Amino acid sequence: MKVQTKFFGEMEVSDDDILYFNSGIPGFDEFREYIVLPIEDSETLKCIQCIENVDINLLITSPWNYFPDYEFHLSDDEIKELNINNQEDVEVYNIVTIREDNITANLVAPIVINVIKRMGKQIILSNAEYKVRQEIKCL
Amino acid sequence: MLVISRKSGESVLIGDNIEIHILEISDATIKIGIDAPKDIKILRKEIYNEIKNENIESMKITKEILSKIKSK
Repeated sequence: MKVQTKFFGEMEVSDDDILYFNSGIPGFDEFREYIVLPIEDSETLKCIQCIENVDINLLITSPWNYFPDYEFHLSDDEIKELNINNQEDVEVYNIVTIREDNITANLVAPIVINVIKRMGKQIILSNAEYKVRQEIKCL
Repeated sequence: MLVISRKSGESVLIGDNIEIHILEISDATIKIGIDAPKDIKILRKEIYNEIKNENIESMKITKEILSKIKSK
C-alpha cells in the first residue's frame, strides 16, 4: 500500500510492516496504525510514521545505543495486551525530542513493539528513576 | 462522573479487586491508599500529561531540523 510520510514523501509499504497501537499513543489517541522507517545516514535514529495522519512522525532511537543499563519490567497486563510470548520478540524505542540544540530521549515512556504480532504500545513506567527529557549527546 | 463524600478512614470499592482508602485529610492534600491487583496500572495524571505533551513536542521536528542533526 502507498503511505504518505512526513519526511520521505509517498512510500510503498507492505501490509506486514504495519504496527497496531490499539490504545493509541498519548497525544494522538485516535490513531492506531504506524510504521517504523529507517533514516538514511543515521545508525541510531529511526522514525515512527502514523499511517492515518502524515503529520504524526516521531523520531525514535533504541535506548541501548546510549544507555546500556536501561531496563524496565512490563506488567502482566501489558504483556497480555501486546500478546508477548518471548522476550526476543520485543523491540524497544524511545521517542526523541529536539529543542534548539538540545536533543533528549524520553526514557520514562518507551515504545514497546511485539515484532511478531505487529502490536505496539507506549508504556509509561510508574516507578522509574529515568527522565522524560534525558539528554543524548549525538545522533 | 460519580461523586461521593468520604471521611478519613473510610474507603471505596471499585469492582471486585480495587479498594481506595482515604488515609489522611489535611488542608490541601488528601492521602489515599490503593489496594489493586499488581497488573493494574496506577499513574499520577500529571505524568500521563507530561508524556502526552512531550509526544506532541516531539512531533514538531521538521525535515530541516532532521537534516541539520543528521549532518552533525
